[in-house]
Amino acid sequence: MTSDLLATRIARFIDRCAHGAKDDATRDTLIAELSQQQSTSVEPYKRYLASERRRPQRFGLPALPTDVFRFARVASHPLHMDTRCFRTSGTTGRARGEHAFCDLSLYDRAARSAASHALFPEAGRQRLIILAPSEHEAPDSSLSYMLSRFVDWFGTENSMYAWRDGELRMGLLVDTLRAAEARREPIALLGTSFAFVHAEDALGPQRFQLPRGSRIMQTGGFKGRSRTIEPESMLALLHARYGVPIDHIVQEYGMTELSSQMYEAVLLDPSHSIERPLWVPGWVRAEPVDPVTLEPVEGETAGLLRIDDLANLGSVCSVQTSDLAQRCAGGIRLLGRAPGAVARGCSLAIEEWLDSRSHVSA
Amino acid sequence: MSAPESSRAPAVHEAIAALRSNAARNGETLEYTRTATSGANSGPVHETHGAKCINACAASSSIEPARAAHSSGESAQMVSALRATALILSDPREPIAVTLRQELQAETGLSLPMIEWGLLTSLSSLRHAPLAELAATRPADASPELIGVVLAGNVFVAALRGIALPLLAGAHVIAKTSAREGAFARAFDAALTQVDPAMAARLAIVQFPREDQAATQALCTNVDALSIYGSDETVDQLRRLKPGPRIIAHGHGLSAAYVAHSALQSIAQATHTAERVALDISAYDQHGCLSPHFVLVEPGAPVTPETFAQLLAAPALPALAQLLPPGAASLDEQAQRMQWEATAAVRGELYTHASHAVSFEPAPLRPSPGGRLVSVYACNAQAELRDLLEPFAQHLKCIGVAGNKSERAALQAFTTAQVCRSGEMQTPAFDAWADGAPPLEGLFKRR
Repeated sequence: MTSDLLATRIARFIDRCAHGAKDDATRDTLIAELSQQQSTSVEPYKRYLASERRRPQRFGLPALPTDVFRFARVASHPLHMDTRCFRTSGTTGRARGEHAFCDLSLYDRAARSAASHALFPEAGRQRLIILAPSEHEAPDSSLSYMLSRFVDWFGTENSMYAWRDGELRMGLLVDTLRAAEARREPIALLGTSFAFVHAEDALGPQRFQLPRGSRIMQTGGFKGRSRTIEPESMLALLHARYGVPIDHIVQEYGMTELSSQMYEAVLLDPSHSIERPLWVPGWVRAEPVDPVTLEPVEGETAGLLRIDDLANLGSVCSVQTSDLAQRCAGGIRLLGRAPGAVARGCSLAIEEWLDSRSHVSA
Repeated sequence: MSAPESSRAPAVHEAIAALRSNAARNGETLEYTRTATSGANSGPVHETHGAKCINACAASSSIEPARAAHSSGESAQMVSALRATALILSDPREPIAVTLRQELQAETGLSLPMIEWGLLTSLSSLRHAPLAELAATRPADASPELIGVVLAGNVFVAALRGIALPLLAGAHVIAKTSAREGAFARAFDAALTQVDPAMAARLAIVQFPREDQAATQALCTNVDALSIYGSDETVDQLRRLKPGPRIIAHGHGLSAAYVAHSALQSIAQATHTAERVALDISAYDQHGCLSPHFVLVEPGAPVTPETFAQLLAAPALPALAQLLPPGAASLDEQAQRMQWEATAAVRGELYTHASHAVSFEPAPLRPSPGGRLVSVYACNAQAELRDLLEPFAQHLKCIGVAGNKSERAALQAFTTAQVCRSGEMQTPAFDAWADGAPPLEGLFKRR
């Protein structure tokens, strides 16, 4: 397990990075120390490193690819010490990624700090309307856990879940939105992308003009739960449907395999509302890498996103995703699936089998 | 449903109008008379999983038959035309064939030797006997139909069967190629036009992106039946369109290899077996639904499953990479390989090479992303094989067996997937059943 001293230093560092502060040198030192400890204490990482001979100069150790979380327990603590285990969304019987925690305090610290800065930068609480299951309904969903904490940290007492018993309660949602309009009460509408599509399909001609200060946070993909909508179209639909300006519609990037989240930087700087880069918290290192050398790609070249998350204390801090990304002013731009991807046709794609990589579980 | 600006719906309508006009010149009536019912899918869903619903289709038919079925002379003419078309496409001196090879390289990313192998093995399957026998299975009272074919984009030669079978069934065919791969279908059409313009007049090739809702609607609402090669998602999307034609679905698939005790009696025999399995894996860079994702090896023989995995990793797959080099891997493929290899290393033993990787892992089975990445598992008996494959049963297309005839027969008893010899998974006979159904199932309708 990770030493208490290192855990304390990381917790303090996350606190130091509040309000967007950065100290890349300290971050990189802590990442190197944490990775080194995990390379001997987390068995799957140890096995992976024994097989993977490449050692990228920039990072020292290669990051553990996310698929491993689906087939092996990636944790430095024994099973009996688990206090929570988050799982990727998926169908029973299929391989679902798991991320076990023996202590969620660092997760909470990171989630709160990031959201305070990038999603709720203004002081004061707001009414949260959640288009996702509660943590009681989906106890293994990291998204539901995070949103429940958001209610605790940022929500008013009348915050509520419009997703109940496995479905979106449209009557409840409409009544709540109309009441917010009437009372001129700014709200935060937070949920999964597919829940927003379900709402879109069910609302018909109804339109809302949510009061100034309202915001929308959407996350996750569609993965067969609804029709798929391109990000630009989704943004336009949400703006038209709820009357929220596009610089108050924020995409969150989170994964079950991580403990920290990244957010589109639009609330931090409205000038980012066109390019919409992801803001990377100070305790996280996000670099597009070359899949052959595992080194960072040059400039704005597209690469596969490697994320080193200091809040991943009890699993593996260095995680290699398959997401295509590039650096840009303000952070990282996600590019989705790589161009030149193989046509799958009638061949069963592995993603169909492995299910979503997002932390949505509904 | 709003159509994108780039809608190809007019092109689809034009192609269908041309087919009808050609049919009329030939004395056939191809007027689409199926009643567009409100809400319900007016055509019966025609699953190919062993369903015998030709009679059901016939019973529901409202097509107006115009003339008698093709005579035996016409069947012989069709067979000759298809064989001549195959000869043109096989001959690298023919201008159509030269262009085809150039376009396939650009479209598929496969190496030229791989393309050549694919063309030769698939086109040579158009032999006289199976074609004639298939043509003869068409009932005398079958009525002419307009059949839409939606082709997949992963293995270019799949278009051959997709197009030739309905033509052989006497149908008029409008084939929609994938947005990325249309060269083979176009070349087939051009070659057929050279050898038999009348038969070619029964074929139209169209291409539009799947997002083009207007073109998709135009295709679906104007054909009697739709033969779909593609993902389950594609099948579901087209099935939802109302009013819809009857559907002949060839959805998602994957395949497996099984190596029996009898094929592992010595290193020499196991090496030979591994070479045959390596061909099944390497063909089309493992991107087809007939490509094995897993190799299940019976333990207890002189050559163990782990040793077989090592033989597959070298020398078998490297030898195949010499003969049929892999195409260049895209960033997406590299990402998938990284994920697959890391999981293999954590779960078991991983043997990597520039052109491929083999793992030896414990169950449960884990699919491959393709690109010559394959997992080997120990599998004690055929009963265990069934259990291991059960999660994939609905998608299983083929099992290639290294073993004797009785072992293949025993496997065939519990699966609707095609069971064949190892080394032959990617070269099925033209008249082979697919998805548990005979080749012409659903492609014609009795009056």
